[in-house]
Amino acid sequence: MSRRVPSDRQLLAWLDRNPARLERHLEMYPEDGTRVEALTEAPSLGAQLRETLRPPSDLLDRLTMGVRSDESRRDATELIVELFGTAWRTAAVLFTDEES
Amino acid sequence: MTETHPEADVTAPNVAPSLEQAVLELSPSIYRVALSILRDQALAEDAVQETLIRVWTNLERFRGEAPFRVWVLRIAHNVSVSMGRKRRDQAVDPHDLSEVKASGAGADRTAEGRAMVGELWEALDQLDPLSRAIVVLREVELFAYEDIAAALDIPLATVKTRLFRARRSLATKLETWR
Repeated sequence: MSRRVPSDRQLLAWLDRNPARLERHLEMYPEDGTRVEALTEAPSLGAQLRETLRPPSDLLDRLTMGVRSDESRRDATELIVELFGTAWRTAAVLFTDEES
Repeated sequence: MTETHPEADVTAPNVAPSLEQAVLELSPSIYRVALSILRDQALAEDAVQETLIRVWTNLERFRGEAPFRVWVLRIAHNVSVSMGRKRRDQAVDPHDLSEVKASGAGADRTAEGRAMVGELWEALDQLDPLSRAIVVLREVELFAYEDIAAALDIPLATVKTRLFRARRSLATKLETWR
């Protein structure tokens, strides 16, 4: 039995004005998700989000200090601090590279 | 329908890496997810720290049913949501939050870069925290839809609908910067 396939315009109208309706539709016809995905594609969004949410360059150093100062959970964190030592130093280099 | 992002690492083993690997590879991702939910740099850093500690103290609970990264970012999401609730209960002055937000990473950005970031933050503010987390997991962390659903414990159709709406909303702001 064939189904009535909604137009792109209909899919976008549901997306904008009735997302619950679109959600129900995609549960029944997940293949239409590909069409909505293409209709809403934003190629540069990922790069711009990455820049907007970029970690500060000294994050790892401050995380180390934060973990070290967590006296209330010393037992749980002692091993972490010890292991973090090497990783932090390497990660600091990687973070710098990522931002350059 | 192809559910995996074309650039996603679909070969990631469902085993826990060493702590060094976890720190190196996951701290930036944890930070981005936390910041997208909390919109506050200092709180996001606290969330990274708390997440790493929880990951390591609960490592025996990781069963390899999903990629390690998905498991970690699920913890990061839960930690961030919990911290966000506590912040609301403490009734923080919203002006304080916007100052922290604006003073985040990127003092080295150009004026244009700062303007773009500011515009995008305004657009992100229009989204609810769940939609922000979804768009970050998909567009930045390159998660498959199924992994986002698993990480956030929500239906697949909800992931897609929220993501597509978020893209539409954010694209309006991004038009200026193309």
